[in-house]
Amino acid sequence: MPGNAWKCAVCGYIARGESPPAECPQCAGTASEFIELVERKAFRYDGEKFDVLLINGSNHRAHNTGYMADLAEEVLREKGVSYRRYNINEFTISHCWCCYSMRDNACRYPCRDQLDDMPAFHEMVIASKAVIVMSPINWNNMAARLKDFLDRLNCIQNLYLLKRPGLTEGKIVGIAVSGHEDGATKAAMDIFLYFQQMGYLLAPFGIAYRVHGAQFNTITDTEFLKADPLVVQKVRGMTTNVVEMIRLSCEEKLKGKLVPVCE
Amino acid sequence: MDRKKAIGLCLCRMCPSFVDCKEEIAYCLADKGTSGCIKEEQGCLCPGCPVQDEENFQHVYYCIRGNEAGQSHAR
Repeated sequence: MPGNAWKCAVCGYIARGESPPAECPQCAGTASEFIELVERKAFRYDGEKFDVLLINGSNHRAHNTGYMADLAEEVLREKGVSYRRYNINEFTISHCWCCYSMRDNACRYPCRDQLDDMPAFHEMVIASKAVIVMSPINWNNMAARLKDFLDRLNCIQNLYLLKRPGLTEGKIVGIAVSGHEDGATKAAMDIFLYFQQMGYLLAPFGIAYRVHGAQFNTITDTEFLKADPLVVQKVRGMTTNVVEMIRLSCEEKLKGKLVPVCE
Repeated sequence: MDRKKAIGLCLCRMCPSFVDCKEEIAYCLADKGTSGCIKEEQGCLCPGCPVQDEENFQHVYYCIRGNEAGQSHAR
């Protein structure tokens, strides 16, 4: 239904009109969650090298986690680092099939699930020098969409278990978490563990999180976060540290020297 | 791997994208180009194929995107 139609990237609701509705009638997402409905081509990586893969793992592309991703983008632009940002709610990423649980060597890169958008992300994870992952806290955890994304990296991690040449050791990761409750460090460490098992290095001070108390509801928490200089300081700091680590060329220097220790 | 052996191991005929137009399969090792009749990516069994495993190939959709050597060179 392309042409004057808008799709809510959170829930898939389709609205007609010259502009998107102020609020999604299905999920209450704001107008900025809507994307113009166009004929969608298969998502493919074009093969062009870049430095940082920036993943907004939230269900919302333009809410609090999206704001943090905006801040990271500012730093990457200022420092002249090539990057690509993706809001994963705009993509189709299925649950991991867990082929490894049937047979160890049934799971390896390239992933057996070639039916959704994840294979292009696999290629970009391998092609980039660093990944910055951002997540909200959903019930003391990372966002479920993000967990699906990270679970699907198993085919890359499993290469180490299968004693095949690895594709990610020495790359850099940075993490940012925003939330309405406790659980920030848990969510951040859960995210980090995926990358640790793929041989990534956490940038020094590579985890930025900012949470707030229950006195802020879902309307006022955005005002709080956007007015809070600590959010800016922390996300910009984490992103700067990722960039500085990239400049050390650890991936190049460590290639072939590391001993994979993973499950 | 010898192409004849690869054809014996190849899963192409079970693939959701496969269209049978009497071509030689094992496109990952094909000398020339891509399939003349398979045009739509509707799923790919290459990641689980014994040929892929034995050769440690790293690409997919060889029938449409070209053989392993060609796809590796393109990157």
